[in-house]
Amino acid sequence: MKEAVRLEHVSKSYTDFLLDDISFSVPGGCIMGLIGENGAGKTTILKSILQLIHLDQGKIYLFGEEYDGSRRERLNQIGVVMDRCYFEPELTASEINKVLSKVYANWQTDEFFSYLDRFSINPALKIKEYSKGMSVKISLAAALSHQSRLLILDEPASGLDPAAREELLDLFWDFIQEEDRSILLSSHIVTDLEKVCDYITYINNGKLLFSEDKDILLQSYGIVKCSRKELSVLEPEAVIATRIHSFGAEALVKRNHIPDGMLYENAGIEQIMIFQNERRNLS
Amino acid sequence: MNGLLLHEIYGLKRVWKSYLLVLIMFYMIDFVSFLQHKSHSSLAFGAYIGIYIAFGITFQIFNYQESVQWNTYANTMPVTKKQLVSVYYILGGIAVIVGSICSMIDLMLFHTPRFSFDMALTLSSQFATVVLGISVLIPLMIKIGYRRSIIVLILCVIAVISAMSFVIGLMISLFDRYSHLSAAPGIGLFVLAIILLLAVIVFASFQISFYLYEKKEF
Amino acid sequence: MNINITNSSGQPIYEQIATQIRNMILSGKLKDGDALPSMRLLAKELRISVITTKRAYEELEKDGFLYSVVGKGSFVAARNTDFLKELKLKEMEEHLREAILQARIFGVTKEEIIDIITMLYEEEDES
Repeated sequence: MKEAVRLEHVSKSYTDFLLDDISFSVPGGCIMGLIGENGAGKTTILKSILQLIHLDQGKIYLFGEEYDGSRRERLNQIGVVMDRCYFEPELTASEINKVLSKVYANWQTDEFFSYLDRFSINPALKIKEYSKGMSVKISLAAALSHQSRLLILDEPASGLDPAAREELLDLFWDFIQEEDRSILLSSHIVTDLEKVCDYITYINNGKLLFSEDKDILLQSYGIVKCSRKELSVLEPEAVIATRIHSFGAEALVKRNHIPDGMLYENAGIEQIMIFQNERRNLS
Repeated sequence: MNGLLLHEIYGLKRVWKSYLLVLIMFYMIDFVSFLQHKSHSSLAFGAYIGIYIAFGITFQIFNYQESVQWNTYANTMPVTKKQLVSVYYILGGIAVIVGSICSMIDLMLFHTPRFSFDMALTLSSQFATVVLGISVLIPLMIKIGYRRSIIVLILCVIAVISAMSFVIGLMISLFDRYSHLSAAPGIGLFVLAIILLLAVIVFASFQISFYLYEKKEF
Repeated sequence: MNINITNSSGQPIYEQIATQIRNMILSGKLKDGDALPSMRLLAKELRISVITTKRAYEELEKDGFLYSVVGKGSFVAARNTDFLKELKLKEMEEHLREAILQARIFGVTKEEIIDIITMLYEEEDES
């Protein structure tokens, strides 16, 4: 199956931030989570893919073909949800439906209204009256109603309560039932990503630290909790980072390098991020 | 593109009431002065309503778009940048026409003598000013945004008024110069030349706007 | 069909799924030719990623327990009972090996083990 998105050596510099040589791809038919701290560069990456910003260097491929911002009819296949609703505040959902039906080639009015119904959004209510959750939901409804093959979402869950976030994940699982559909979403709420994502890409300070199969990632690492003395037993190259506290130490270690008999715990994605970050800070 | 236009039209929903109010207010002022003077009055508030409408609506569109970062989202839709820029010109053009019609109605109702040279002068100089103004404003607002444009304009209020007066003065002197060509073809040619000039200016403005818009990042 | 997964065990989720499906096939709960839920549906219902269910199915396919038809889904593979028996025998051997190891550690003799096995068989026969 074709890759949904591919980035090759993408770089973009701002006055106080540099997105540095980012290369990764989103395989077709899967969900990839883009994680990183605030300001790490996740939004910049998503904007690069959509050619909303001009790249200093690098290429973007959508469904196998290079995308440079021209031939914009290809955007018919991409649904975008950013962290706010961008429609003018006086509009109602019905009016948005009319607007978008004239913009997208395959707009599905019935689907749009059924999503509105599912989200309990009154079609006659003006956007300026929407809560934060509703703003995200209507953007989502719009993104899902024009037969898109790729969903790109930038922090869709920020500002949503846990129940709403679960609903969001449910939508992703529904979306992905078709084999040729993919999702690329950025978030710093790692617990959500841990459940639903097939791949995880971690961006830290403008650099790509890893882009991996989630299961393999989680199986690769373990957290060793021991005394400071016992730390020395571990091979230095296998240790990502350590945290020493008053009563002992913790280390993120590559699992296949953990000596037999030494106890370790499963590492969650958040812990992997924290330790990787620690490693970067030291170097 | 119809979708894009529709989006702005829906967005201006709230605004048309306030414009109607101002329109009525201006018409009232002129009506009262018309009753008082019963003859040609030089106070022509309503005649310049077209300027208010044209600039106001153009400003409003940029204002709304900026406040919700519409262009960021719009650029993820399957629409070309040319289409996105055209929206400003199409709606600006409609605002200019509507505004000019409102001015014309005012002049016809409340000023005498009707269909005079003076009236044509007022109307056409206002039209020219507005077309010029919008041709300058749209690229400006694309480049530096709505808020900063307003600041620039306030600071340049004097320059703007001078420019308007200049245009009006220019048209008067041109009319004077060619008034001996009162024969129809003469005036016809003159009007045609002005229209062509404005068309060229608008076209140039569009090209500049498109160039600036392409450079922009969202 | 009942599948329960847990995050707290050390066993990776795809292994848990593969094991449970395998057991259902071996015990006859899932018969030859039965259709298995699609990987994507399974992922959705269990609220895990598609790649995990895919891995589980791939493992089962590798071991010959299921086969996939493009466009149709995955089905339980026909098995002959000899192979089944052999697999189970292997498992039992492992269990017994462990018991014998423990026996050696604690000094339990072979005769005592055989006695226990006899007793257990009699218990089973009675119930």
